Amino acid sequence: MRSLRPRFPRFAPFVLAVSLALPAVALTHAPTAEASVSFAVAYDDMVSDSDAVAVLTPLDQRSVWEDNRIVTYTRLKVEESVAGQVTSGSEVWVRTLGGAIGKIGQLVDGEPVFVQGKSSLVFARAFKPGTFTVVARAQGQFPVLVDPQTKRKSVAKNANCGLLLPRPQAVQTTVGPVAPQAHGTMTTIVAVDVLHGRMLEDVTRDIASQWKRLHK
Amino acid sequence: MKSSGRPARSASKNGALGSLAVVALGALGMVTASETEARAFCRSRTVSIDPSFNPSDAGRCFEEGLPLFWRNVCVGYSIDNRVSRKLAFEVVANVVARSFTRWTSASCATEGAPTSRASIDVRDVGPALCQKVTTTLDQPNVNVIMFRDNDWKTSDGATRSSDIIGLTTVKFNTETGEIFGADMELNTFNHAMSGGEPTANEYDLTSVITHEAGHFLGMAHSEQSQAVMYATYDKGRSSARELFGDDVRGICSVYRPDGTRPVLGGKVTSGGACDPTPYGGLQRDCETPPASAGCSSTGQAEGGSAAAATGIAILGILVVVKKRRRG
Repeated sequence: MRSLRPRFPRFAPFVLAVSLALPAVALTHAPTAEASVSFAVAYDDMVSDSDAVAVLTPLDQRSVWEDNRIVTYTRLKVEESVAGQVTSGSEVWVRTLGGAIGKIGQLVDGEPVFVQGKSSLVFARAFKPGTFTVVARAQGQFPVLVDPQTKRKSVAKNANCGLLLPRPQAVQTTVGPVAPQAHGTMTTIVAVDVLHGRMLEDVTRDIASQWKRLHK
Repeated sequence: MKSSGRPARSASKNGALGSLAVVALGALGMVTASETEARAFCRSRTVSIDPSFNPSDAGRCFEEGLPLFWRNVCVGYSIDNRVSRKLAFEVVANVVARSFTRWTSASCATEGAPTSRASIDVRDVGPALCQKVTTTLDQPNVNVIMFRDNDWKTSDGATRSSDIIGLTTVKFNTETGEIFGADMELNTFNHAMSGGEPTANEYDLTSVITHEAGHFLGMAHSEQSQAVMYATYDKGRSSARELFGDDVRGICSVYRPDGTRPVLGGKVTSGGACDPTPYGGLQRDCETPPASAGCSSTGQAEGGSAAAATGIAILGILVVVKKRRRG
C-alpha cells in the first residue's frame, strides 16, 4: 500500500515476501478502510488505562496477516519515558490494525498511524511482552509538533480520531458493561481537550503527576 | 484536525447527545449546494491520514492516495436480522433507510440546468444473517449493518476500544479507489442507542448512522462545523441528522447527477446500469458453512442453518408484503 512503503522503504522486500508467501490470502482479500464514531475518552481514563506513557519515534514496521486482518507492528524508540514501565532509550513494539501487504492494504480510521521520523506522545497498554497497543486508538496518540523557529515542541490532537462525541452523562448501558468514564466527576474532562496545543514539557509533567494520583 | 476555537454546533438543552436539537437545514432532500459557502468536504482515500496533518493549516484535504467511490449507481445493504435486543428490526430498518436517503436524495446544483439528484441509490436488499465483516472479493457476500450486543471484539477475538460507538469498514481497490463493499458495526455492547428520540443516557442512532453512511459512500470528515461529516468533539453536541450544504456538495461531487464519477487523473467513469449486487454475488447468510467445493450456491443456506435461512426468507417475504400493502 502506498501509505506505508514510501515511509518505510526498507520493508518493501519484507512486505513483498509476505505477499508472495500468502498469495491465496492476498488474492482473496480486498483492502479496507474503516471509519468510526467514538466517544471522547476522559483524561483520567486515558492515564489510568495506560501501562506506560512515552514519547516514541518509529524506526521501522512490518505488516502481517492475523486471521482476516492486516496488523502492523511498529518498532519505536523511546525518546522520553513519561510514566510507567518503559525506559528512555529502549525500544518497544506497538501493534495497530491496518497496514499493507504487497498491493493489498487495510486502512483503519480511528487507529494510530506512525510515520517514519515523526514522534508521538503515546498512551500505551501492554498487549503481550514487549508489545503495546495504544489506549483509545488514535485518541491516545498525540503527534509531537516542532516549531520551526523556536524549536519548542507541542502536542496536537490526532487527525485520525474519527468523529468524537461527548459521552452522555450517567450512561447506563442496557446490554454490556458500562464503558469507562471519568472517575467521580459529572463533567468529563476529555484527554484531547486537555492536551491539544500544549507544550510537550508541560504535558509530560502533568501526565506524570496524574499518573502518581491514579496508579497508586 | 480542528482547532479548539472552531465554532460549535448549536447547543442542545441538557448538553448530551441524547437531547439532540435537530438543526433545521431544510426538509429531506431539499438541501442544495450554495456557492457562497467555502468548499470543505473531503473524500476518503486509499491512504490513511498522517496524524499530524491539519486541514485547517493546510487549507486542503489530505491528498495522498486515491479517492474512494462506488462505481455502480446502485448499492445494496442488509441489516442483520437479530439487530439489537433493545431495538426492533423495523425501527432500525427505518432509521437506516432514512439515513441513506438523506444522502442519496441530495439535490445537486447543476450549471445552467435545474437541480437534480446525486447519482447513487442505496437499497435495502433484505435482512441478513451475518455478524461478520467480510473481506473477500471472489465469493458471494453482503454489505451488512450489524449490532454487537454480546461482545465488542474483532473477528479474531481481540477486544476493541470500548469508546467506539459505530464503525464502518470500507473495502476498496487500492489501484483505482473503487469501493467493493462496506459493513457497518454498532457497539450496543457498551453503549445504549435509541432509534427514536434519545434520552440523555442514549446515543442517537440516526445521527450515528447518517454519519457512518457518509463514510459508507466514500466521504471523509469535513472542516465545516455544521456538516454531518464534521468530526470533532463539541460539548452540547447537536444533531448530525440532517445534511448541511457542505455534505451535499461532497456527495454531488462524487456521484454526479449525470451518472458519472470523477476518478483517476480527472477522468470520469459511468455509473452503469443499476445493480446493487456485491462483487462475487449476494449472500445474505455469512454464517452458514459454504457448500462443498464446486457446488457453492448463492443466497442459500444448508444443513443446520436451514431454520435460520428460512427465517431470513420469511422476513424478506414480510418486508415485500408490507411494501406492497403500503404501495
